[in-house]
Amino acid sequence: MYQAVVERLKHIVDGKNVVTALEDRMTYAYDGTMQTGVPGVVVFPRTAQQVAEVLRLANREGIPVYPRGAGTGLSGGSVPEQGGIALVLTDMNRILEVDTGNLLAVVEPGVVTEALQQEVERVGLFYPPDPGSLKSCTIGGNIAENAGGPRALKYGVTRDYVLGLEVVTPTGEILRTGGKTVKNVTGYDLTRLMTGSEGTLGVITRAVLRLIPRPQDVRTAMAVFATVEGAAEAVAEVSRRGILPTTLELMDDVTIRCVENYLRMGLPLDAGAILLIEVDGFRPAVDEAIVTVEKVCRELGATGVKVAASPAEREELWRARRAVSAAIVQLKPTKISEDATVPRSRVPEMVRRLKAIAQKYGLTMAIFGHAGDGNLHPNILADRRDPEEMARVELAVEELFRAALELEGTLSGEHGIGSMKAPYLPLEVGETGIRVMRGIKQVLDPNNILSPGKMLWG
Amino acid sequence: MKKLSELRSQLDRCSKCGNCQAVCPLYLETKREPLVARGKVFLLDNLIEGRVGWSRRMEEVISLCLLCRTCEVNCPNGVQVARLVLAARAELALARGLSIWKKTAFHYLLTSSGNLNLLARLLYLYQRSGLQSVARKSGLLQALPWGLEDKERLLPMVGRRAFARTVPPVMEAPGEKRRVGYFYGCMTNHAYPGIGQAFLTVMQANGVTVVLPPQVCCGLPALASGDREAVVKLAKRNIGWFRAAGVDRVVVDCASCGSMLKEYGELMGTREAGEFSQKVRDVAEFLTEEVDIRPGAYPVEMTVTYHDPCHLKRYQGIHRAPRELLHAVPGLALREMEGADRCCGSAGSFNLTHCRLSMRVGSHKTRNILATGAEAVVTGCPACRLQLAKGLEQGGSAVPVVHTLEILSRSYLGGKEMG
Ligand SMILES: Cc1cc2nc3c(=O)[nH]c(=O)nc-3n(C[C@H](O)[C@H](O)[C@H](O)COP(=O)(O)OP(=O)(O)OC[C@H]3O[C@@H](n4cnc5c(N)ncnc54)[C@H](O)[C@@H]3O)c2cc1C
Ligand code: SF4
Ligand code: SF4
Repeated sequence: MYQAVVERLKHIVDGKNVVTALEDRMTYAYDGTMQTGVPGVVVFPRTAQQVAEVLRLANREGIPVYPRGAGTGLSGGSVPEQGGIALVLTDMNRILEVDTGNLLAVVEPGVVTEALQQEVERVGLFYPPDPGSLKSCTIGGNIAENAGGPRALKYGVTRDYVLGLEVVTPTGEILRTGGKTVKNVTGYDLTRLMTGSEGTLGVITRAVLRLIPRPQDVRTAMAVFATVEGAAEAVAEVSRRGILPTTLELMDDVTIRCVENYLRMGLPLDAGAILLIEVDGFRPAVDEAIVTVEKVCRELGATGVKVAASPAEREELWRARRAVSAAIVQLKPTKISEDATVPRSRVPEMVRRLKAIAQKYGLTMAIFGHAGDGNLHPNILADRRDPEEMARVELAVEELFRAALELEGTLSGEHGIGSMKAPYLPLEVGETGIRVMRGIKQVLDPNNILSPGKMLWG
Repeated sequence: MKKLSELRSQLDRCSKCGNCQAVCPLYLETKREPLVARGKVFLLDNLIEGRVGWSRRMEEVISLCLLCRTCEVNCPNGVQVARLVLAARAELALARGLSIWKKTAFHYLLTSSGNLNLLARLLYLYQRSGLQSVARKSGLLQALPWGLEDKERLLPMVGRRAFARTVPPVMEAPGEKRRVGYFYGCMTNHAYPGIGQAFLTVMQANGVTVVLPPQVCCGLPALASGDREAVVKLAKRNIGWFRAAGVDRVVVDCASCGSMLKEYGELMGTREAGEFSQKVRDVAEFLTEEVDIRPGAYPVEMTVTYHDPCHLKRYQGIHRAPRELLHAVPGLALREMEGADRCCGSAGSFNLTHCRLSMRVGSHKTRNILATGAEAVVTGCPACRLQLAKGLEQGGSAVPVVHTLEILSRSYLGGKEMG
């Protein structure tokens, strides 16, 4: 990085918030993927003004800028693949307002998702989006990726809770979108455009988030099935009976065996699938709902159903699901985690195809995920130091994306395109889609300085 | 003892998920990636691959770890971060040499208990002679580099006479049921002889004869600084002395020393060291599992809260035992604080080398302690005790910090005074 630029940056933010030592920069070279790219300089702004000034400078000088939250992304979005500035927003982490009257919160982008949830729960409110990384990831990253989570089936994803944004455009202007109302049809819906834009259209510096009253209670059940088809049938039947569960988590046979080997908690090793089902709402309602869930599962051939009678038992049921990540890497050190998503009636077929793909390329694959919304997480387990195996992984991943599209699904349900899936984007959105998206990008970022290389240029 | 390059599989395990951000006390304080486990793991990976070398900054980053293992217990991939950091520090010590004062300390002073006594006596004189207050008042310390004034406050108040000098080599218990060796550690010996006295009282009352063989520093400070040679020297001497004492249990009242002694086996890889480590028990573990402990008859009417030392909870898996002991004490009420197992920030000499950061980490602890309204904080590690006491003092609180043994001992002796 040119010394003059560094000096300018130090002028914009406090000197100690500009970091140039190689060792420090290296620790901003990665996210939750295997992608890396060392930034030329790391900058920690504290205000929208500072962000705007940094972007103006970068725009003038033609320096790439990569916004970054906690760096837990799973598509390489925040990795500074062309060097330049890593713009880290974690110091902007104030919760500015929790408005119980209007059911909303105003936050800075660096607020950790769980911190917001805890804060609003203190006043009886609820911010539902719950990505698995919620203890570390930031609201800014969640909005940029439109993050989802197990509760998406009932409550939707991040997008459904963003009412308004303050965004700094790549040319350094401050744009305000949406507002404090649930209904708002004034002009184009720029809030939705920015949500899920993966740091390619602007830097989010403030967000107005919708909150809802906290559900009174939850009930949890775990059901064991001989086949994925059986589990999928149960999922469909539960909603036919008028129940919308909060969560429907699926684990396939490989995942079950990994977890059992790891925890030795007595999971059936011959099971084809396990469903973790959760309902929430008013106490009498959930008490009734969980009975129905249990009945449906049994009617549809579940070989075992367990309903948690206490919070401790609930924890125990979740223990298996929570241990999945740790359990599967016992097989091989590197996990390649995908999130191809299909309409939920196609889940059994998708699972069949995934297993065939794994077999074809001689790879180990554990499949788990959100059966309620068709968002599966096929995880390929490999060794990143084995180039031959990694080559097979690449082929398998491409085939997996094609399978998802053939089944009317999508490349990514929640992790985003970033750099990892950029080459496959045209497969899904087509030539016209790409052209429209590039047009939008061109208007906002004429010099292509914000997150160059991501999403649209695979 | 494994080299860094032999721990490559540990580095490979890190999926960079960032879970460690949610729990690492240093990251929570600073929000800077080089301080969190993920950052260090990535840097070490690059070090092995030769993309970075042992620069000053690298050295500093590797020193910025509390070795508290909070990240490890929350890591979905079981990355052994503390082990990696220790291996890196050892590598660094070889590559660049230890700083002079550390070298002198570990090799010369600590390997001979006599010399440590000398050092302790000098400290004692310094504190008692009024020099300390002169130095504090005159602002002399402020003028010194790297915040010596803070460091000075962190030096323990050293006792007039080492604990070991005040007791016979064997304390026979009436109606002996067990016979154990007592490893009292440097902190008990020089700063908190009261813990040692309490140890003896509790053992006597429960029919346990205590043998006090000669001993030297357990080696943990040397290990944490990467001086493995010194650790091995110290370990050999301790192992020899306890074998000569012919005891089948080595009981420790310092969580840090305990975890170190339990690792001699793995560290040295000899059968002798392995056998020694097998014999080591933390005192809470020993009392709850191997003695039919009867607390004394005197009620200890007070409300306390308990701080879990990293070296007890995460290194030795001991957290129920001390609470069981406290619950058994008549009259005593235990009120749990939030984050009882959050690192206090002491981390051996981390509180000397990174004083301000250490105190910031500790400030959460102080707040949580005060929020319970407890009349005393109980813990199982003298090193934590020092840090907790300084934190409370800075927070303007007079809440004393005591060892679990001191509470127990009170139930046998009666009396009100604490701390
Ligand atoms: C263990 C684990 C579990 C996960 N589980 C889920 C899950 O269940 N659901 C899910 O959806 N995701 C999940 N993820 C992925 C990831 O956590 C989410 O994408 C999250 O939203 C990323 O947030 P972050 O703060 O880490 O963002 P980063 O990784 O730092 O950045 C992600 C993207 O957002 C951009 N960005 C960040 N902040 C801003 C900002 N203020 N303005 C503009 N752009 C910005 C970056 O440029 C980048 O493109 C998981 C990840 C891990 C490691
Ligand atoms: S929690 Fe473990 S695997 Fe995840 S980033 Fe930290 S050290 Fe790596
Ligand atoms: S051992 Fe403690 S201080 Fe070190 S990286 Fe892990 S959590 Fe952070």
